[in-house]
Amino acid sequence: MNKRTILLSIIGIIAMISIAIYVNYLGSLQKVTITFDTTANTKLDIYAQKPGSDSPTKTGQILRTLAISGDTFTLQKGVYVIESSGENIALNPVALSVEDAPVMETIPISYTASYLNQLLQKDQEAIGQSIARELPDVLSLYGIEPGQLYRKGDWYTTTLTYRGADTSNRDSLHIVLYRENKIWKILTKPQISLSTVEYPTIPSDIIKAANQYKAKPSNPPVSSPPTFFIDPNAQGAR
Amino acid sequence: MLLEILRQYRKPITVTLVALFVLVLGLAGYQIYLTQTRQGKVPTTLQAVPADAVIALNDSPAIPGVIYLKPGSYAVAAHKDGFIDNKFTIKIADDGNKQVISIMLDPSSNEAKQWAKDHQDLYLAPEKDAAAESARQGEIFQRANPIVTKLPYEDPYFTIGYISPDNKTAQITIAAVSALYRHNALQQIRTWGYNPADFKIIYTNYVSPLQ
Repeated sequence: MNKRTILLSIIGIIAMISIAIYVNYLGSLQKVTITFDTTANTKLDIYAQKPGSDSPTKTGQILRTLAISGDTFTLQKGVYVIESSGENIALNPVALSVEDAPVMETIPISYTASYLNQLLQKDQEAIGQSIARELPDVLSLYGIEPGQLYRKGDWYTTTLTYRGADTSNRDSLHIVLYRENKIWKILTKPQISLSTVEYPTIPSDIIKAANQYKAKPSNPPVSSPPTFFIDPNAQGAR
Repeated sequence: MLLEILRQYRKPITVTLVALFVLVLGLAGYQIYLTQTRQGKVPTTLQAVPADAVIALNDSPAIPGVIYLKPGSYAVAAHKDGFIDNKFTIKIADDGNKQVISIMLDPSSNEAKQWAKDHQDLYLAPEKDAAAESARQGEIFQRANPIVTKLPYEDPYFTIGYISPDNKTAQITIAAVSALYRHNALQQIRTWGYNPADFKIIYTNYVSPLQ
């Protein structure tokens, strides 16, 4: 084998290795499109996910900050953590998994718990009126727990706590409401456990939170008449 | 230097490149042909005993093996001298399950009877295949619904079971005599690492006071 052949072989091998590294690098990138609600000056920060952590746990510096919804960019395949920031916006870490297919993800934006509590105080009466209007029979048998708002105050879940005399069907029931055009509407039947299978259009985290909220059934019969946490006779109630 | 080598081996390089191009083109064309002819069709295993029986699907000849059929009903007819003709209708569905058309011809002549006696294993094979397919479907169902491996679960005060109306997804059933035990059954599901919200749950002996 002469020098020229050896040299050519080395150049060839280096070229092939370089191409392989470049192709591997290109293959490790994936297109990512993130959409989110940008009102309240919301921004999203993307971090690497801490290795070995099951829940979204960031590590290291911010890899990218998103201020515009719907932008497409590339990320190396892997798991990331997205945190939200903005006026009264909760961090709400969300895991983002980037794999073989392009990623199109909508990141839910939530207000902080304290701000949601403030909003709930303002909306509590309107919510109570909606429940009373849509489920008039509920009020004679169940107390309505104060409930919780989610996201940007447009989702609400509460638990109906049994107050009647039946000893075997005293289950606490859960409902989910959604505010559309400033009107609260009940989206689910009152059920012992709400199912993401039955309500695929409701975000699963909200259904799961609804099921966990004061889920334990009330104690057997009470001697006092039914009580209400929300006044059913408030204006607008039946 | 590189150009010099290219010049020196121009002919074999050109021949190799052209051959590769033709091969790639041919493979791509064949793949497109297969995709086109199989579009909207379901892979179906056609098996017959005896294997050399003359088979017709909707009056068109068919050969045992994997064939591609559009979903729908098919009139199956099989004939072989010495055996009783077999005719039946079968429905091919695009439901994700393995589709099989299994044809058995019962012997009529003495010679055929002897052949059938000597080849009992072939006649029993479809049953074994059906059992294996059933086991495979069971494994797929369990992989898709791992909670069923825990069920039925019987506690002194509640029972957790499941039903599957579509043979694909599991719906959980909870039988308990009181609200507290239904609550405990849900807690049990959480203890296994599942979230009750991920299932449709049917409370078999719960009567809603709202009904």
